[in-house]
Amino acid sequence: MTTGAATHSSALTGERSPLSDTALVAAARKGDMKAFERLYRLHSGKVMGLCLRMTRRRDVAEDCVQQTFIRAWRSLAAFEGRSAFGTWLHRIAVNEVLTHERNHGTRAESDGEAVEDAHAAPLESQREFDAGAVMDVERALATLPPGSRHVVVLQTVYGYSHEEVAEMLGIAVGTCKAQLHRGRRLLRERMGLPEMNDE
Amino acid sequence: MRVVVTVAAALLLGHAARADEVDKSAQADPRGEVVISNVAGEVQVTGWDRNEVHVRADLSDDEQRLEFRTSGARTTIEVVLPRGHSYRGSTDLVVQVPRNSSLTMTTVSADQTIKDVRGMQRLQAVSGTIQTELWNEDIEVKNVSGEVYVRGHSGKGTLRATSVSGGLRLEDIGSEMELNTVTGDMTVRVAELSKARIRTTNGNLELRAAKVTDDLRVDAEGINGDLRFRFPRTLDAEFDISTFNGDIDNCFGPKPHRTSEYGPGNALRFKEGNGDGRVRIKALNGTVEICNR
Amino acid sequence: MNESTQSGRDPLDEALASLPEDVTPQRDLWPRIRAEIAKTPIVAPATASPVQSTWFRLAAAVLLVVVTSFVTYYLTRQSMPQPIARTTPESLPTPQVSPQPASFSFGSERLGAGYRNARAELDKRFHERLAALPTADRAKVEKNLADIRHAADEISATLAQHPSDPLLQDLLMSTYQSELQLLANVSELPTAGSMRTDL
Repeated sequence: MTTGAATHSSALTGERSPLSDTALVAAARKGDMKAFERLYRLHSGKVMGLCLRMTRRRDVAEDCVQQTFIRAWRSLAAFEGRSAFGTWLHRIAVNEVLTHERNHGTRAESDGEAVEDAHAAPLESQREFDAGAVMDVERALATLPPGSRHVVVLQTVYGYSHEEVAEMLGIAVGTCKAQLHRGRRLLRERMGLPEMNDE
Repeated sequence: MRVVVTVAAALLLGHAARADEVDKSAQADPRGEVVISNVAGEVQVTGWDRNEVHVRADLSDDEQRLEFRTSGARTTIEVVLPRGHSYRGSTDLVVQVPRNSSLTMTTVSADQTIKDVRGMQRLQAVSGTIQTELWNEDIEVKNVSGEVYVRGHSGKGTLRATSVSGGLRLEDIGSEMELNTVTGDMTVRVAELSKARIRTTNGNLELRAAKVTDDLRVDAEGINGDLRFRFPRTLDAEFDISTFNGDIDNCFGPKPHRTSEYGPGNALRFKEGNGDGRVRIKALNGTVEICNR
Repeated sequence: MNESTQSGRDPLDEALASLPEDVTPQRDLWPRIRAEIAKTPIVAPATASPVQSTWFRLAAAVLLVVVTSFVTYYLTRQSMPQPIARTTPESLPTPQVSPQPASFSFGSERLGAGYRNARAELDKRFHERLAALPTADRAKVEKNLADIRHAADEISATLAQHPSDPLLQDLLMSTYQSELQLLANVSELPTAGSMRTDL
């Protein structure tokens, strides 16, 4: 499972050809669990990253990942291939996260401890900034309130469009844009970055 | 259990070329009932304009008999085994019946192919394909693990089709239908749609209607499957669509909204035209797509 | 004031772009996923265990009416104490036909002895017919029945989290009806053994 840094923030990186996913999905739909396991190995990293940043807790994120793949297996018959398999998985994952939030309530806004536990992977330090004085982006992201955090994660980390994010989260596109704007402003503040004229 | 029909008159014509080949005919009511049952093999039934039922059978098993009897307006064709005999082979039946006969056919592992039979049909199979034509009388077809193909002539007959693990492929059928599958897909094409009740557990549905009636009533439910509808560009109907874990794509314009801020669930209610018709669609895990031509 | 990095990009964008999309879960989640999805075999297993007995045909029609009206009554009272989902015991290898059918266990104590007896008759006749089917057909029936029961379990579990969701209530009821319908359809089927024999 790769933990290397993505090279750009826009659009999903296509590390593997969608054709290989198609063949695996076709096999899994017929009951081939090995093919499904392969899909799990290929996609679980991204699903975990998405769940982790949205829930901020590793144990909850792992539950969400599990539920996502279980649900995906059970709904394979419904996957038509109109979107990429990964996208379809992410939709399910977002649903799982939102369902969990609804049932368990969201945690306090700045949960430093959860953030500390959550991220074992070392992040490349931003040389231009004093890491001791300001938060790095991962921690700053975790301090965002859920509404804007979800939007920032889905749009800027995973490359989904306004429309896609709005649909996944069940909010209006306008709300989505506002949340993104707010999220970016908060990130700048907490990371000690200067203000910009944002989108 | 099957009621034993008392044997009345049976006119035997023709002859058997071999001991296991049977060729029989009998006079029949032009609008009578024909009842056919077979365990394994093919059954072909074709309507013709004679007032006669004719059957040709290749019995593969020495112990089998073809029972062919008439009682009043009912003609029965049955492949019969001696008591205690276990069935091994397969018997193909080729049958001609008066075109306006009604037909009741029951098979286990046999393909049923029916052409130009215009009376009511009740067809039941365990496995094997059922292929028939829909005219102006109703058809009820139940298949457990085989496909069902119905080609219609946009007539008045209602179709009730249930397939457990095979699909349903229905073309130019009538305006009223009741369709059920568990894991089979359904493809439906109809010239004018009036009433449809559709249910599927793990199958997809694709329904195309060139026109709809003013009193349109569509009731469709899917658990794990996509439900796709192609309606005419202009129609008068009220749409009520809800999904738990699936998208709603609507070509008519209005977009779905989430039923809860934090949880899954999409709903879409809108009216087209003066909204006389009602289209209700419910899905658990699957996309619902409403498109116009 | 506009400050940017040497590359000319917004430093926030650069920071967000540096976030890894993939995060490795701390433990391998696949074994638990596999254990769960193994309860939903997409390919039917090869053998079945037949149960013999008798039935009467009207029971199915009666049961549909009884269960439908009872389910409506029960759900509208929103008094579901716990998930109805009845999961198959882990000890069974790959369960084909659940010993406790979905709609049978639902509220059976409240529906009373009349329902239970009628339902038991239907199940027995169903199993008799099932046993007499050719192997491949029998496997298909069992697989489809398992699919329906699994759907019922899933909806029940979801309903427990969203008890007042009318969509879920409707779909659960439909699923129970589908199950009864399947049992009834198979029970009515002719089998090689039941075809008419000479006296």
